[in-house]
Amino acid sequence: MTPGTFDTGKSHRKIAGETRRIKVIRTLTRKSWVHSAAKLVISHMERRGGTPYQIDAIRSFADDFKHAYLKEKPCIYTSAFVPNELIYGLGGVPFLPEAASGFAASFGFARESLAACESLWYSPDLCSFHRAGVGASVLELAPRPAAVVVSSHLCDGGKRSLYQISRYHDCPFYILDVPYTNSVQSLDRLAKQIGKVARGLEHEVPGLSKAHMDEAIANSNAARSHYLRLCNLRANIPSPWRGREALSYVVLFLWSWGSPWLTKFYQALANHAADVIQSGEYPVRNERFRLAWSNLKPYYSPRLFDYLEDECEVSIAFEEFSYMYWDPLDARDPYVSLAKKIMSNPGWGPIERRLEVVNRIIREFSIDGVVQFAQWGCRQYNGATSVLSDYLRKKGIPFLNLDGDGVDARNSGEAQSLTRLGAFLELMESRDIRNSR
Amino acid sequence: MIHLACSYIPYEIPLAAGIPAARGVFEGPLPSMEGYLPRDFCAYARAFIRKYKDDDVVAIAESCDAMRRVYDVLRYWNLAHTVYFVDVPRTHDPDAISFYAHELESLASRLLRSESSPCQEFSEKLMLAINCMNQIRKELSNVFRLVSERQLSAVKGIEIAVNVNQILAGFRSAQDSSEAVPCLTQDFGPGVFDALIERIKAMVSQTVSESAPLSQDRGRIPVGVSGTCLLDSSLIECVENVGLDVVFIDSCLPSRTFDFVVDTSATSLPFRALAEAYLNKAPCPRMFQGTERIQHLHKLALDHGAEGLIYFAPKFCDQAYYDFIEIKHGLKAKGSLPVLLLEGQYGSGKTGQVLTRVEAFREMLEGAQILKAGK
Repeated sequence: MTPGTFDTGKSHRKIAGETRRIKVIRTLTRKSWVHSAAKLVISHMERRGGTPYQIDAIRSFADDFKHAYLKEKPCIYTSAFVPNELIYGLGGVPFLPEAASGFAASFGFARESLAACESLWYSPDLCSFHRAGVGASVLELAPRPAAVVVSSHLCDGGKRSLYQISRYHDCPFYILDVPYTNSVQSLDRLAKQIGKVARGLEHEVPGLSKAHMDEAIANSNAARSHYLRLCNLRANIPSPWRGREALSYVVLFLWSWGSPWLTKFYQALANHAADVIQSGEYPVRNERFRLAWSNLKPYYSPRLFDYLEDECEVSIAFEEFSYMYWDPLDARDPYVSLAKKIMSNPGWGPIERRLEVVNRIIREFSIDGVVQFAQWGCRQYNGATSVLSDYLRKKGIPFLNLDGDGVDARNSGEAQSLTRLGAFLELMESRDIRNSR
Repeated sequence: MIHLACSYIPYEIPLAAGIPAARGVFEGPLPSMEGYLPRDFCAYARAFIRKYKDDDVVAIAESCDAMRRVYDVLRYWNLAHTVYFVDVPRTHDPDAISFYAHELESLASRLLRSESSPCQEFSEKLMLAINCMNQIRKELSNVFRLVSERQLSAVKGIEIAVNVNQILAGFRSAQDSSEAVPCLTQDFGPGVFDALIERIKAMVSQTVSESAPLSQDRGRIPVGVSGTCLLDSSLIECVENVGLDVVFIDSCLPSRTFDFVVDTSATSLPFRALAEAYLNKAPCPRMFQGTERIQHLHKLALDHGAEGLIYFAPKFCDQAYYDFIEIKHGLKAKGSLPVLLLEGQYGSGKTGQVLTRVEAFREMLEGAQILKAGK
């Protein structure tokens, strides 16, 4: 044990109070027959005419999870905004605990993960995506990391929670310390750091080598092309894809760049959107309003979206998290390319960069109103609420800041959210927003 | 006047530019400013939101998500005419030091309103400012040595640190100029900081001599206090009133602002010396130096005989929430220094809940002492 790592003399799993259900799931995730069975189920779904993009998404995760849980490839934990081309390019498999928290909430495991985390002294005032990620990792519901890589930009909770996870598992920890200002020196410093992290991972984690980097970069660029086609199709009125689904698949946008499955997924999804437009079978046929959605969504309950999309016939036409913000990567200079990708994130740097992207989304996707899901404990996004609200008000775009929690149902008042959404739609209706714009 | 938001932003640069500078010390967020940041933001970040004078400059560091938003809010809502962002690295390797030296040089250029690098003349003044601050830091180290030896109350120690901050805020190299305007045209000889140092020395000596003697009750138990930002001295006052002696305070004000020296002997490049010293000082929880923080706190506790640690986390400070967990487990692994977590806002030391918890902590420490004596 290295100095400073956690040693309470008692298994963290025991302190966290694992349940029988958790023990069963933990055991099953590590059985090769379970992963083989999952593969059969996916093939069966495909034969039964399952939607191709959904099958590809499931395959993408099933493939990564199999490699990670069965230790076929080194599993590298990363924070949400680390370019995972780096991990796929080294022949590893990324795992994003904060993104996996959304899965946990969807499948009803978040409660145990949150309880485990809180039993280890984590404050309920921290973002639940990170708390559930720590809890799942401590309970070993998540695969064991061979190393952890975080980037310092955007979100304190992400990097800090992963730092703690690296301590629990006593594995190497790397931080990409992203400079705030966009300059030649900043780019150079970040590119050097990425190179250093790559070399460190190669050296410290058996089984990693940068032999796969060209392939990962090519996969990423190919996926990007299909993704841009999808974005163009999503500008169609009415919207060809359900916002609730788009918000679920944001996890792929954060996770899978560099994976061969992402290319297939976005290609299939773009084809699906094109088919919908051609057939006129829109998910929200009589689209009254088109909303842009900022930040994530409650993953444990679909009621908000049933209400918005089915009852009120309102589309979530685009999400701020889905905005494509980087240029194609250059395989000849991968570290500089990845550094540029990181630094292009509109959430990083002065707020004007984010406002510019929100403005583009409004223009490109014919947006009538913006909803920001104010995730409890998210200082990165919620801190800009007064600015965003004023900026949109001046542009005549209605804005709703909807308090809630994406993972921890205890922090959400669903009835209150529905009431506020209803009032927001009434306001848009009364102002005749669509015709006035 | 330049308002500094973080202990990693050197006082030396505004001093060398002849601009009064002070670390932001507040009594709490202003009620009239509540709408600019959400309520679930730490009170220090919210307290920074206020209307600054037109000639004031605010320097915000890349401390955390909350302070980045403070930077945005101050600019967007025109609450401050000039707001600078100081990109403080989270690591302290040679690349980070070079980067930060360049960042500090850029801060100096902005303060001097120059598009080129600060001139040789400024570098010389910066060396003088570094020496001045080293002497001031030495004075404050002596004050906190008295605190650790239980000859001076920690509340007095904080009062002195805050007074030093105020004196620096009142520093004038230009006659009667309160503006954040560089004063390089003024006579800026080697003795320029002498009066400032003398004033601080006089204030320290007067405050120490006028302090009421500390209770010599042998039953008082020595403890340390740690955290991100202490916000105010009410917690220390509460701890001392309960019958515990605070022998060290590991917080951004005072110790992480003053408890180090900038070594100029190894380099003639003052920005490099500053970057190296500031990034290598006792780490703040924002830095990814958990092992060093645990070792630092363990050493402080051993050196000063602390029998417990009170960790203060400003409510909604993510850095503190995560740091506390690591400190608690790390100190436990190194022995069994009991740690009490207190969460709060400005004035939390005046609340009954905190008082009760500190009293319970004292009783627990007394129990441990009795058990130890029985063995």
